[in-house]
Amino acid sequence: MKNEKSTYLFFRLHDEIFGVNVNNIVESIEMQELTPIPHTPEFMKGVFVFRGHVVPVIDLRKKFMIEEAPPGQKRYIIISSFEIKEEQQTMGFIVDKLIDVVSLSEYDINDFPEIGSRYNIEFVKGVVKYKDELTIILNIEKILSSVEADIIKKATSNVNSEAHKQEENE
Amino acid sequence: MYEDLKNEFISEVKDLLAKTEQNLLLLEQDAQNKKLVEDIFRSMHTIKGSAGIYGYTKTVEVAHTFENLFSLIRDDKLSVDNKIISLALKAVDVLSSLITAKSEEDIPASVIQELMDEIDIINSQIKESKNIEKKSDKPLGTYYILFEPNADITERGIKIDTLLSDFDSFEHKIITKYTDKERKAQGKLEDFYEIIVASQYSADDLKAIFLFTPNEVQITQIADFNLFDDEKFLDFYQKAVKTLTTDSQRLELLKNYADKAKERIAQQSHAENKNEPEAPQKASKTIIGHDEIKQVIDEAKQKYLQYIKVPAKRLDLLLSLVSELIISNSQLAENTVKRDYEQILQLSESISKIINEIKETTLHLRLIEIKTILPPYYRLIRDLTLKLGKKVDFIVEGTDTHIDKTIVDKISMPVMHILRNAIDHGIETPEERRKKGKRETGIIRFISYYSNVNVIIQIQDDGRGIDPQKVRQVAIEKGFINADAKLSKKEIYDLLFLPGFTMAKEITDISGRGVGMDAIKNAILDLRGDIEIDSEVDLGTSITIKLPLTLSIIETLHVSSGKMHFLVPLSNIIRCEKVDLSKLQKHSGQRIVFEDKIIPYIDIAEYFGIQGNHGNERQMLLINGGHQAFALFFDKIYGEYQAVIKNLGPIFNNLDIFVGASILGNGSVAYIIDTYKLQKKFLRNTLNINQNI
Repeated sequence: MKNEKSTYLFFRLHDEIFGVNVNNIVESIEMQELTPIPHTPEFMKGVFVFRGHVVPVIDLRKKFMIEEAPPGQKRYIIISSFEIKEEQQTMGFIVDKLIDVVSLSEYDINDFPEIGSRYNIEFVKGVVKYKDELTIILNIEKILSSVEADIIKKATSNVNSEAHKQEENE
Repeated sequence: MYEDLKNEFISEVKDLLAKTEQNLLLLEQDAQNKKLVEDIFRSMHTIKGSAGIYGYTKTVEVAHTFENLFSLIRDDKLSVDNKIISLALKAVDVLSSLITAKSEEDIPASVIQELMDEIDIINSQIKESKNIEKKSDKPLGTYYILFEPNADITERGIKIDTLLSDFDSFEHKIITKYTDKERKAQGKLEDFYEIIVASQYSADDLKAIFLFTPNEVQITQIADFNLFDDEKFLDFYQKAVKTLTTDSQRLELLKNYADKAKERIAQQSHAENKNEPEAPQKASKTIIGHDEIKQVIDEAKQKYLQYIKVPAKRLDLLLSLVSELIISNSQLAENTVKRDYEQILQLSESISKIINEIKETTLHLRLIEIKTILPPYYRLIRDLTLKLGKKVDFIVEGTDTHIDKTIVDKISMPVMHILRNAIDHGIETPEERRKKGKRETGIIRFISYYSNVNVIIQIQDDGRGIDPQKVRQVAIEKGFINADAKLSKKEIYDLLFLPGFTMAKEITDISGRGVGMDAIKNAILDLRGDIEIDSEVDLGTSITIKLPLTLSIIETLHVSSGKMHFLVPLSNIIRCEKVDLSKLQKHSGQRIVFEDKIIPYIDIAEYFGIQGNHGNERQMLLINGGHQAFALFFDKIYGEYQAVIKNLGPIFNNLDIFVGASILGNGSVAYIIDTYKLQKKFLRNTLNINQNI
């Protein structure tokens, strides 16, 4: 149903507003202390314990290649959960500020103007107007599959560099 | 909901098929065992019944044919031989593929047809000879069966035609369909059926036919002899009985007729049989007992079959522990209000004790007996030995060893390959064995037992063994080792696990087609286990698999490097040693000389790029890496830690240097290092390097 409404969580990253469907969102919490995960891409900020689970966290600024947040700025983690390959993947996303919860139908979401965009079109579901500001509705599943590809790339590049290093030493 | 039920149905049928397969193999050894025949017959009957409910029409068809075949065996019209068993095993295979396939349509019709044709041939042979055997098969009585299906019978997936076709095997029967429109009001079908049948079974036994409709059938014995022997009976039924309007009237009339007929027949047969003594085998004929039928019906009622069978005792224990926990918890709340610190301390201690016990008990719920993986092996050994003309006794010891269900599922294939190798390459042909002075029949032993926190599975054969000199020769020829390499016997056998290493001169149909020992080893290592080969020429080969009891908990050593904490599986650590980096004797590459051996090392701080001043002192963990030991350097050792493994999720599956993460006592996260994968990633270039100094 195109005119069926679903709920979106709007948040701020740097100077832009983004929205995600709340269907897969578990909870939003204040920033936590994270334990880094070795041999993962830079945007993979680490893991923390949430309700007995070890949850990995992505910095969306880093993932979207937006400049880093100023030190000391209060930030938040949106915890979401998806089914990937018949397994549950819980993942946290670091954002700057939680703004609003909005009800939208498919009709409200417009196509994304490709020109002049600095975001990977894959990650974007569309755009809506929110209080005269252009808000980008994200497709989190797509972001996650790109994250997986990044992790694999990083893991294999580590192997290659190690092998390279060994050869050099010999 | 429907999907759940269907999954349960599939798992139930799989269980029944596995049981049937095993029963068939036992029956081959013990052809006279009527209980086995009965078991097989009942399993097929249950499969037929429930498959109908879930719309598996082809399964119903095959199971029905199969069941008929076994009813012939049960009735002594057909004797069990090698051919019948092979055919029945084939039927089990077809049924199992039908049930496992996404849709029955995926299984080619030709496969089913071929099987049905083969069974039909046997059936028709029996029918031809039926007349000769007829005499020994005197029915016990004649029954009046009133079958009044409920209106929802088709919705329940029961086909009346299929159900009634069960009477096909009875020689004397009349099935009449009546229609009564008023029945609709009582929630019945308009159509109902009257069956008059002469059978050697009791009324209770006949009830088994109506296993899934027990409340819609009434069975009354109208005579204790075969009423069809009375010449006038059929005529009487057609002309008199059928004209009556209600079933009770018809039953009454039939009973009267039977009483009169009894006297007549008694006189007749008395005259005929005067000089013929009673055939003794009549008395010994196996008839399904009442209790067994009851059991079938009970089993059918247990539709909601468990996936893991758990002894009730364990659940009771768990329940009592939980109630203990609840009590302690409320006491804790009470004492917290009172601020009685001493009490709180005591309670907190007792709570952690209870939690520990709950943890242990819960873990045990996942453990199942290792014998559940055995049935396919009996089949494999039977088929392979027949094909290769070898003789093998399969001896199993310690089948009540318990192990995690996930491990049991994953260990099945590797063991299958090992058994295959043992029969194909290990066990000699009977002639060869005779020449060597061995017993013609070889022995393969499957032994399992506990050893600390591990389960050991050993597969031994008394075949020709593996000659270490030959392995060495092949390894040199193929460039796996240098010609002057000095290897111990164990190290030589370890070569067999290297990828691409094969001793097979020719590839046979049975083994040597790519699934080598390295694949087996990888599967075992994935389960955090280990595998070893030992062998003596002409005495045999023994393969030992070491497996963890469970996959969700792992015994580790808690270490750290800078601020990062890690857990290293204890079973992989040979020993720990404090070293000074500046004093270590470095060798070329990432290697050090340690106690006259060159071993590769990984400094975790450097490898993971962990910041901070680590100094020169390191804790060196010497890790057992299969082909070669290697060292891991950490900053600090904390002690042993029993880690519950937490996964980071599917998208991190490729980050395989970690088994997972675990939560430490202080709530922080530590990664569990997969030493095997780490070794493979980091040290794979050094694998083929000469292992000696």
